[in-house]
Amino acid sequence: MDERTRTWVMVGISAVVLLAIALMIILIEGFNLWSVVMLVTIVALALVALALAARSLREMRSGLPLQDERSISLGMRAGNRAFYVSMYLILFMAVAFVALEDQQIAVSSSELLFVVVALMGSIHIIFSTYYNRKGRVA
Amino acid sequence: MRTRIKELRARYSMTQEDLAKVVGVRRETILFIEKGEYNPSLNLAHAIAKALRTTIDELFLFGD
Repeated sequence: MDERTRTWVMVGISAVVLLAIALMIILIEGFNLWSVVMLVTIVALALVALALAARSLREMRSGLPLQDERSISLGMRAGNRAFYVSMYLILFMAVAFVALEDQQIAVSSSELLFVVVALMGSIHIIFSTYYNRKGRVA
Repeated sequence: MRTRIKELRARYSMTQEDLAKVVGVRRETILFIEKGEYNPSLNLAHAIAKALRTTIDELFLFGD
């Protein structure tokens, strides 16, 4: 599979997954504040992903590769940092929930999972952008 | 580390994008190598030197 086809397949899969998540949110949660927040977050993440994909496709059309040695190491470093930051955030949230057990905070596991996944995605985008502007990756 | 990439690019009337296409990397990679902010792999350094018709030690200048 060449780079162009792979990019379109990734865009397609992402679109289907995001659409399925949005439909599930509406079907399960109905229209309330929380479902609107989740939908807005998904749309925002999808727009960022689309902007990045459009940029990559533009570069590909002009004959430049989508990935090279710098972008691969940049992606790995950003992913690594996002993983550790997310892990510490999850740990912090777990400790906070144990400490606030008496307060009876009503957060469902699906809401919590959504927050964690959205945070991981956002942190990865932030780190990727930061390293992309920085030049020196290692 | 300093490089002579910009100077040699100008000599051969090449843009950063032209050089990036020849060596098969993204334009930003050439930009950061040119500014001395990214150290390329030996393979990439060799490809850039070849594209600019020079050698690695003439292209990359170390302060020692």
